[in-house]
Amino acid sequence: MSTSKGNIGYTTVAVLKNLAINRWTGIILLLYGVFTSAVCFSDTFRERHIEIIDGNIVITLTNKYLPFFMMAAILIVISPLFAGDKKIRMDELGDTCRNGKEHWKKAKIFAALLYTVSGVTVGFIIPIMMSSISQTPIYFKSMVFESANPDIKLSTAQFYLFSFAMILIGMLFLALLTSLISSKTDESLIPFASVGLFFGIEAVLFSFRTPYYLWEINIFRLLKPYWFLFPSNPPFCPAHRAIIIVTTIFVVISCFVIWMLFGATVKREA
Amino acid sequence: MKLATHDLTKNFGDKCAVDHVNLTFERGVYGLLGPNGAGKTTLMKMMVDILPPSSGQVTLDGVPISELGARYRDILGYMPQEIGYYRNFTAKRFLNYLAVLKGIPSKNAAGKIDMLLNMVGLADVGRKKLGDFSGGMIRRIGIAQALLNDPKILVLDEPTAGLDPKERIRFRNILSELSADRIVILSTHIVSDIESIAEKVILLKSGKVIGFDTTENLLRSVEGKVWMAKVGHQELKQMKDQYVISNILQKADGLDVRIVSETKPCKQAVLTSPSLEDVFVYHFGKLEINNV
Amino acid sequence: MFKNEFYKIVAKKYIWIFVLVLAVFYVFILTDTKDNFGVVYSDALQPVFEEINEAAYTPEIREYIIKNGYDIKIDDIEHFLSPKIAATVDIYKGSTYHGYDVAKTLWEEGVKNRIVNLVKRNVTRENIINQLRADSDNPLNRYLLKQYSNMPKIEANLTRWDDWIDTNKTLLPGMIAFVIILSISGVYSNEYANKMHGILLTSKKGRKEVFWSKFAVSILFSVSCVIAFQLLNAGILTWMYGIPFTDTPLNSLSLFYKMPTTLTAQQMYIMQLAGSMVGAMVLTAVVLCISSFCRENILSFFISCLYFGCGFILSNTLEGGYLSSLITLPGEVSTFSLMSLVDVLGSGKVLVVSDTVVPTVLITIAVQLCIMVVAIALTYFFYTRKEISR
Repeated sequence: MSTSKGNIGYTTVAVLKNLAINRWTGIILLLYGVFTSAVCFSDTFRERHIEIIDGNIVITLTNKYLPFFMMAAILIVISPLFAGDKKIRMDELGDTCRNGKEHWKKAKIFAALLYTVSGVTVGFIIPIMMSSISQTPIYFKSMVFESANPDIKLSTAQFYLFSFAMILIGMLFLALLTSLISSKTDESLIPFASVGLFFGIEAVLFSFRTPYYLWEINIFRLLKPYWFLFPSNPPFCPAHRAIIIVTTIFVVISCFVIWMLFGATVKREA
Repeated sequence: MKLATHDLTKNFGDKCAVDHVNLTFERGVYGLLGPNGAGKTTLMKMMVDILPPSSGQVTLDGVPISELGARYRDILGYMPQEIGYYRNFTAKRFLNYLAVLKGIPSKNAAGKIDMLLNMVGLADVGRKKLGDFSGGMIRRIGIAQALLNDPKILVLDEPTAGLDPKERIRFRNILSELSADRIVILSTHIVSDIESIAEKVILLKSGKVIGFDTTENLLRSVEGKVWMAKVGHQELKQMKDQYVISNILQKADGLDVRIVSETKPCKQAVLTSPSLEDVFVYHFGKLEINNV
Repeated sequence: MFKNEFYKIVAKKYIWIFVLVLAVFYVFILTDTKDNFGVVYSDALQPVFEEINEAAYTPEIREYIIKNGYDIKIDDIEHFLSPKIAATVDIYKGSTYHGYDVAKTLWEEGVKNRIVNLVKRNVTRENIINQLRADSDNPLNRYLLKQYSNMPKIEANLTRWDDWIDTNKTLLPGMIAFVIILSISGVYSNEYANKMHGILLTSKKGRKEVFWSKFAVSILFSVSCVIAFQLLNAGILTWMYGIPFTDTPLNSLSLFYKMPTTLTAQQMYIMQLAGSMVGAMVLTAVVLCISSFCRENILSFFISCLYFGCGFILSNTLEGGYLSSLITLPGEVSTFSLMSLVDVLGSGKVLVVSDTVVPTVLITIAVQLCIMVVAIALTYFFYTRKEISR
């Protein structure tokens, strides 16, 4: 690929390539692939270890397990994005290059976002593909969660798209948060542990359901989007209101994080 | 092309690392000489715009480098004292990545990288991971990356530290060739490197410039002040307290001592021609040298 | 050296920030229910604890409750109850709390439900014993029969021991593990990151001495961490509910009433404290081992989290019942399981190996001690045998 000087896309691709060739990307992808295969092809494994949601393997894999694999990938690959470079003093080299400083910083953020989008996309493609290969029927036109009396009715295909959008918003938020913390420190462990702790706290609040508003405004509402189809309490009902409120809150916070990332110029003191 | 610092100052808390430095650089090789903690690295970091000065500024042809931004970095090559690198990258991948950051089109980058790896003597290990490289090899990668964009201004912080004599000679030759049409600023503790390649030398002490001249003039400044004497162990002890000793050589018949002094230190002392090391000793004094 | 190594761990500012965040979150999540009716009036019926117990064992009440399928009104049995119960509830007559009639709620949910539950639990236990007697004679049945027959008398669930044991089930072990992993994961790998390993390993007091100092300091830190979090937990629970006014058999708590356990709640809590301490030590040894072969802190942290997280997930997804199997065993022998003990000890879990019934908790302890020994040996090997390449 040849391009003119200062093309942000070119630098973004270079950074993205580094993230993609990170061995942990491969390991997590492999683990997800193996897990998905086990769920799709082994009846015994499925029966013993997996609680299938709405009788649909793809919904189960994407709504229950994909967020954890993606989370692991984001934490270990994106945490060192800025902090790692500072730690090994790679930032000194990069920042004296023509496309260093803000250009490089933007490229890193775009790369982190693209990495997340690619990850979630692959995370959806793998179970759909495995499910098709294992000849587990996918009824795209049939309605999901009918027996649960959901507030909104969606076909399987519509629900896949809805899940994709929700999980993507949630993951992009986490990727941005990780990038922001990484840009403020030179210790990769700190963004990893901070976002991991945030994830853990959200998980506890989601499972305890108390206080209620923190169950509703919770990252797991986005990462496990099937919960949106179940009735909620006011003001989070009907379901479409909950979807609007929760996504708006996380999108607004994500925009704020982006503003902080682009706005704050971190200068390293010698 | 004129690179200049104007009252450049950097404070870290109460400590003044660089104190109102005014320098002008034009084509040629400049050697930055000073003891540890003199402010060499801080000065260089400010000159490559990765450390904001507390006051003063660096300009290129009258325009502050902070305003020039990417345009300045486009003609800049920098090799830091401690080179950051990705252990799991091969040398070629690493240089490729930096080529992207330097805005070098990929069609030009591959050839340039091969040429530079060849130049620094690492052509045969281009596909090896940097994690397996020795300290000297990493420094050579550092030199190669600094030259990737064919810079007009080259700032090198201790480029020869850790290189073996053969590599140091190779590096000096590279620099001599490069200096024809660009500004090269290098700092080093190895005085002989500066002696053989730098046209002008900047002496930095406690953040202040205490000398800025050609090597010839600096050498001239200590002419008649460098002495050689053969002494015994007892005599040396007394001499160390009174004079600045720049070298001691143990011989079968006693000690050959090189002394920097305004006056004749002892009866048997004879004048000798000065080296840049003697200049260093003369300016940076007894404390640093005699305690080593 | 000991002092310096300890300083290296505690001098990291971010660790204190994480500890503070966790502590605030823990206080928040625990005290969030402080205004609930059950918490505010948790001690209201304690003065009539004995009377409620007696009522559940009164044959007339018991028969009446069973006959009506456990669906009764308090008025139906009130004349059988001790007048002290009525007098205690009457203190709250006329007062309301968040729209609840306090006296009525105490009668219905406090007195009636507890008596009905107590009867139900006793009937369940008797049915289990009868079923076991009717079933074929095998080692498991013999063991279960012995356990259920020797169980202490089930009491009314009024002591609030549930909260003391439940907080130690997942939340507290999770938090303690997080702080330990965060603080300890860099103990050895940090030497690489800071390029200190060469100096340390070649120093006069290198290798063995450095190893033992780091190990001892890490254990000391982990133990302090457990004590601090347990004190915080005990402090909050005491503030909310007070110290449990009496000990009670474990089978009197909702979590355990069907389980073949003969322990008391107090014994279980003490075991949990000990488990938490030993588990933290095992975790420390494992994290140190991981740290000794990792060159980056983040990698050491990630692998350590995976180690603990796998046990946590396995243990929480496969819990329930009292019978261990090869499928449930990986979760049951995990470090998390040892730190929690609710599943393996509280549920009285057993594993049947040919004709022998082995309490799962013993296997957990044995496996964890083996892991600890192996981890220490491997750490020693990895750390002291490291070659200094540059």
